[in-house]
Amino acid sequence: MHELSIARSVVDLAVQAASDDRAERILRVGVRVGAFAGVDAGALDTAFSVARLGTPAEAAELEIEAVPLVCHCESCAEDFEVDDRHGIARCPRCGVTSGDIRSGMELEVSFVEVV
Amino acid sequence: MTDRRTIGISLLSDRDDDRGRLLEVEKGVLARNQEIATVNRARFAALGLTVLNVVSSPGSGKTAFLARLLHDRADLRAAVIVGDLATDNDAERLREGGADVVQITTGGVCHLEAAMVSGAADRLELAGKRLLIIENVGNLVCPAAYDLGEGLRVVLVSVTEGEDKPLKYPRMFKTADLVVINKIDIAEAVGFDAEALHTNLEAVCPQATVFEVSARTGEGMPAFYAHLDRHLATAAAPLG
Repeated sequence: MHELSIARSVVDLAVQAASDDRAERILRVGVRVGAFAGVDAGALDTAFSVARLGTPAEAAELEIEAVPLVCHCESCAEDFEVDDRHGIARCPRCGVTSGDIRSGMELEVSFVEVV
Repeated sequence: MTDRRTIGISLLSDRDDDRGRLLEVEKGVLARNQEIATVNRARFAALGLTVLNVVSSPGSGKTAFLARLLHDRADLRAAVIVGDLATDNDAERLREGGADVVQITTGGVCHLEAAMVSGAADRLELAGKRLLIIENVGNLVCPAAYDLGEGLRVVLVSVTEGEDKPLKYPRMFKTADLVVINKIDIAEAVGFDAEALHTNLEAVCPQATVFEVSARTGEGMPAFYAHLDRHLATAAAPLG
């Protein structure tokens, strides 16, 4: 459970971006969370509602864009989306499991909406 | 700032409350940690050090495993960074073998971060060492997200923990280079199903090399050492 420290970093990045743009307030913060980023979206949302207090993001909404796990199959030379909560990345073409992760680990602030 | 620019209001066209302006940020939330980890990695490579980040649940036998490694492979002149929530018992246990050990007491933080490792490394004499072992906080969740600058991520799991551990903590196992199954000496007594665990590991983390060991009896450790030796041979030679 490290969502609060993650949420604080999200708020810091958002506040920095807003301040660089001389904005007064942050209305919305967009984050991109990979399925295997190790962060629970619900817990992040709750943590964000606390971390934003006392900052220009005090009333900001958090918009979470979920990014699926995508792995690469070497033998088929194709990327494929993994729809398995355990992250078992079995190529839909050949059935071989892959450990070659192409996306789904990201944890990024994508944008802020400011006034 | 080159990593940020204002983008078109058109992105807001599907919203009826388009009152603000959008600023593209595109920054990793853990970017600061990643930057420090990259610096750590370069620093360790320049010293010709192989760095292990050892993670597991509490009680998997990380400290016993490392004590065995330090004892058997004193030739590697290993240095150790131990992360623990509140005590320095583990560091004391490892110091008994004569290793150069520093403790990071995280005070409740559930994982080590690259900056903590950097600070701890400053307190170690790393010249002449070939191996740096980082014993992470016992936790299979949060440490997964933090690169420390290691060369190999080692996930330890013991036979008493249940064969479905990789399915429960896939994020950790997916980032593993090596998986060490510990306490194999009591496997039979606890009804450990080796095949089930290996099947789950193969499904979740096919990239990982898997070892079965007993840190207590030393069984299986030579195979791990052989693998480590192959890795050490490819580690960058010290500069200068």
